[in-house]
Amino acid sequence: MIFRFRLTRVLVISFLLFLALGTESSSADFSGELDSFLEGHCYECHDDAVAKGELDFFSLGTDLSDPETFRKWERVFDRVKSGEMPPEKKPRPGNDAVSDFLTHLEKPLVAGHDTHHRETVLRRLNRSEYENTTRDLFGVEMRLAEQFPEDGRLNSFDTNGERLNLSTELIEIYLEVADGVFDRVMGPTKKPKRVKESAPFRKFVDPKGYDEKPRLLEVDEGTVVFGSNFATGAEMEEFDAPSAGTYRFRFHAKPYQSDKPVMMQVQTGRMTLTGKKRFQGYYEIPVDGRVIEVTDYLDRRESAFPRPFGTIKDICNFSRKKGIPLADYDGAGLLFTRVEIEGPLESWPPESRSRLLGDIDPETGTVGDLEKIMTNLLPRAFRRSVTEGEIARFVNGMRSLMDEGRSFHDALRWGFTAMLCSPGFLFIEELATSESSGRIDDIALANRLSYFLWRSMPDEELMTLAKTGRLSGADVLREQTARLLRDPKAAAFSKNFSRQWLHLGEIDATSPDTKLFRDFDNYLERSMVGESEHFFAEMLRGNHSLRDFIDSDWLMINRRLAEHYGIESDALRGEEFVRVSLPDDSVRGGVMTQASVLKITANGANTSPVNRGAFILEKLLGIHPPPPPPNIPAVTPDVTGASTLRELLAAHRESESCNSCHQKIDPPGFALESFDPIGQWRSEYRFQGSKKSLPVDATGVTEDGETFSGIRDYKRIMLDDMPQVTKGLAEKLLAYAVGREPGFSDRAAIAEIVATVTENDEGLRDLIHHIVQSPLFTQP
Amino acid sequence: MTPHLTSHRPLSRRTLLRGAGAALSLPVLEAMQPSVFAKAAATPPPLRMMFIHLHLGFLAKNFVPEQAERGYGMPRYLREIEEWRDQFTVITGTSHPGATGGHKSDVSFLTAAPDAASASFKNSISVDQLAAGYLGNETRYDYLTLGLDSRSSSVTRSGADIPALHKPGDVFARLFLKGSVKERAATIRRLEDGRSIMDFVGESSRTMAKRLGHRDKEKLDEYFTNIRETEKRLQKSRTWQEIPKPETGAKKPEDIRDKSDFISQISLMYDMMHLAVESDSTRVLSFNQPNVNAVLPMEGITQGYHSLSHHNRDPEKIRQLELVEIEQMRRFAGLLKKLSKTREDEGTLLDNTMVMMGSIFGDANSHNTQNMPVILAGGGFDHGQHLKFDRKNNTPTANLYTSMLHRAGIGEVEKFASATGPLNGLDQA
Repeated sequence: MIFRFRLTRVLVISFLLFLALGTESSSADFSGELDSFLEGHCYECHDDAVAKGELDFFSLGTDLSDPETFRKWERVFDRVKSGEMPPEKKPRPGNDAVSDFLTHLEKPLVAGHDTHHRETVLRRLNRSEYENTTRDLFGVEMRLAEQFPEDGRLNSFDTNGERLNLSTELIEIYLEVADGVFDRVMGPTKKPKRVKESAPFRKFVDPKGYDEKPRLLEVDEGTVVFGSNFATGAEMEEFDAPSAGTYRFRFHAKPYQSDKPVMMQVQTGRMTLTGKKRFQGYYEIPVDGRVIEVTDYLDRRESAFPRPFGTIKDICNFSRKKGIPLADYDGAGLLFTRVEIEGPLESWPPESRSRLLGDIDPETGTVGDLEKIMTNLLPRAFRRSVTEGEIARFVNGMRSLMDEGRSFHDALRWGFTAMLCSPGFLFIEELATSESSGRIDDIALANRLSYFLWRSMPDEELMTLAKTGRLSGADVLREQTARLLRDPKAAAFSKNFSRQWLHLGEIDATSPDTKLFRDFDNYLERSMVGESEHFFAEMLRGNHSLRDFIDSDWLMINRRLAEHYGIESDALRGEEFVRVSLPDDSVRGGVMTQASVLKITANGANTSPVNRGAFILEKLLGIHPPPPPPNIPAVTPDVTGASTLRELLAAHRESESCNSCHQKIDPPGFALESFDPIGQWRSEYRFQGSKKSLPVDATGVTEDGETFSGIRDYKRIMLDDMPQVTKGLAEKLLAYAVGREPGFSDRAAIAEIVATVTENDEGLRDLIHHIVQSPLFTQP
Repeated sequence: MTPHLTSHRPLSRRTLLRGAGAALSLPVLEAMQPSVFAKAAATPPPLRMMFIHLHLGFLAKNFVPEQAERGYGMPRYLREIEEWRDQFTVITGTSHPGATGGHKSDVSFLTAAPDAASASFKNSISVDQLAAGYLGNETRYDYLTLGLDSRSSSVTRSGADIPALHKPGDVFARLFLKGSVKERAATIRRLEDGRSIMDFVGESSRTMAKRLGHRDKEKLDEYFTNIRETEKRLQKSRTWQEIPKPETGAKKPEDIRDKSDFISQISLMYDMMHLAVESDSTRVLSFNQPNVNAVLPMEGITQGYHSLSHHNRDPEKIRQLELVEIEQMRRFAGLLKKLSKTREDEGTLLDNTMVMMGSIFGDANSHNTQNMPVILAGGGFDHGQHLKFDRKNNTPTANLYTSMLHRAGIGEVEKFASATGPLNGLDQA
């Protein structure tokens, strides 16, 4: 009774507080109906004295507008529902009591979430959206994203308004970037000289290396490059782009002193030691040669840097130390015969300029012309209808500059920059059509759809449908979703989503131990990321069953990864990612056995079932294990080989409070123990500086008590739980698409989608259609 | 490299006002004193604050002294700065309560905000930004946020990350490069246009605000506040265009071309920090050294820094990690040396600069945020101590921040973030 009294007192106080603050409270006291259950089964451990698991019902209160309070009640709901609570060793409540409790708790939670936590917060464009939007708006391809600081993320996605913050520094960057975009749109004042050359490679390179020793070998057919590092490779310092613009290079290359293909790599940029360079790609050059084409926007005086990869690094040093002249060196190299260079490829004046100006001549432009330009531009830039008043404001601002004697060009620049710094451009506005419909309006829907699948602004077709109010019709929306997915711009979706979902940007966060993993190199690392991106793109293209995320009988790999995985196939085509079929008994297939995932979840030298398990749980099953309690140091592997991490982990699984999470986290991690830190299959652990090895044990028992003998068995168990997999993925897609974390009031709608998808074994594109059609997507 | 700094002709307030055009209240500009660097005897030199974050921290066994009293035995790393024993205090047994989230927790280093990895995490203002609000007015730059990439440790009042300047050459340009007459005219025009654009878009956001929901309005308010702040900043920059930047004998540094040689880049940044305070271009600096995985090009090092930090008690990794950490300490010693060799009035620049250096991680190997390693040098405190707090039951590191704020004359901030008060045992000299 004393507990009851205390709880009531707390609730009364918090209720009075609401009144005092004049807060409109939707979270009416719902605890009355729960009280007998709580008293009978919960207070013993979760009162103010014990507060087990940091849950104390007496101080919790029922203010569901408070995120922390909400989260705790949600957790209470989930743990009672799953049967985890009350714990096994305590008296069990009857089934009716449980369902009664859940029903009473569910209602306020749905209402509380819907009222307080469901809103998609107004958000600004993130940096890749900024780049894509200016590209589509003006028709200029610029590397803008890299000029902005990294965007804040929530649960690894960069589309959540809560994390897309602003600082004065960022605003200043907006000013600066807009200025640069304007210059690019207008193009150079004079027609740039156009280069069109086809010449032997030697014309463009200095044959001497850093120490004035020869680094290139001249033979009849052309120039041989042996060195793969910067100093002794073949930067084309004898070519400088005479003006900024897009240039196309065509390198005619052939392996030299090699009966196997030789890899080539290309960078572009300033060919000085300190100059910034941009990686363009790795290319496999077959024995009979190949022409590699690279197209890139170069700043003035930039050039390209083609060279072999995987050959000797520093040929100058080698030749000097061994006293071997280049002609006598018998290692592999690349023979370059011709190079074709063409650029700038842009017409002059650039198309972007006529798109902006029409037939207006900036030399004689008037205020009336400015008005014409802004009337055309503003609605597209703001991606909505614009009032005459808004246009007039811009024009007035520009007019006052001209009144001060500034040029038309200056005034236009001012208006252009102001437009790109305006909230109308920077923010994705989402207006509800009306209070009653509860839907966002068609214009907002067009923006949402377009930023979801293109990461860019809606095109004309989409906007026209939106403006005429037809987009929200189920059929039209479906058609448009399909059209957007077919468009090449949808590559931005595959790439961005897979990168963020699987943390692919962290691929180089640790470097594999060079002694244990001698074969590891940068080409392999990049290939790993490429595989995951291409896998997702193929899932989308082929509308493959979501089951393939867990286990597919195909992979998207290049030759480097095929070697890494020990897979042979005639389909392989050098560095290109192609679809390769897998034999039935392959350990590969699906996401969790991709080298990228296996590397990202390891630390270079060791693997940890805990890290990997938590990653799989979160990424593939959508289960977020709570972080370890503070002050509990991570269990770290013993590198001396005395015991495996599994043995160390066994100890802490004996503790009940550790085990409640670790019985979920560890099993997928154990199943993946058969893969080393760079994702290769292993049957033994190796230790640096030691001949000792220990056998890998990839067996385990799931939370539900099902035993598995290894990764193939574990995937089979996961395939039995496709509803959970589908739910996890649907939530991720939704968070990415709508810019908010799905919560309690979305559960019913998600469950409906999950049921349809799993029942019919549908594919990734189907899932996207369901999401777009659902109120989850069409409501604010 | 000891830069040779020369004085230049003082400016009258009138010149300044004429040049600035618009009416605005002017800060007391250092340039109006007889010399940029030699101040009138009556004015005590200003106090500066530097906050340096080393993401991966230090191996505790080489950092934490055993004894707590003065004259404590120097552990391996501290021996690198032993020369300044009486000018620094080593602080152990402090941390930010509730700092969790592995590597993500580093965003709390200067803010002390808990639970960086949680979905509802919202960061709060960092101590340097709070200080800059008080100390920033009188110098060309309110503050400088530095880093090795675009991430700094500094956070705005609304919880937004402030990007970092990460090229020493760019920092140098801001401090000293004046540009040609033509370039300066272009800069002035750009600043003025920028200001009028800010003014213009600030108005448009109000129109938009009428049609939005509650949280949306808060976000838009964030935009609007930043627009207004930027306008002020551009205005301030515009005013300072009339005041020539200080002269320096130092050369613009070339960025380190080898990306793996982050330690040399750190050294260059320390040089810039010294120049920035020496020239009184700013009084508040933060320098974030984020998690990097480069293989430092040094004899005996074969693995990436981050990989080494996960040493798992492997003696070879620990040996290599020690090499990196000793080098870190040596570079930090370089900064102390420069500050302590620069005279300022009766003392040295170090006497007037609080240099706080530390890490969010007490043990990066296990991502443990307890027992942060912290050094506070200079700034006129009674140094030479090891302030040893309970390693099991930590004292908030924000107590140290509170003491630093108080020392800088910002007494109205009674407790910063999670602080319970100023740091016990840390007194003014």
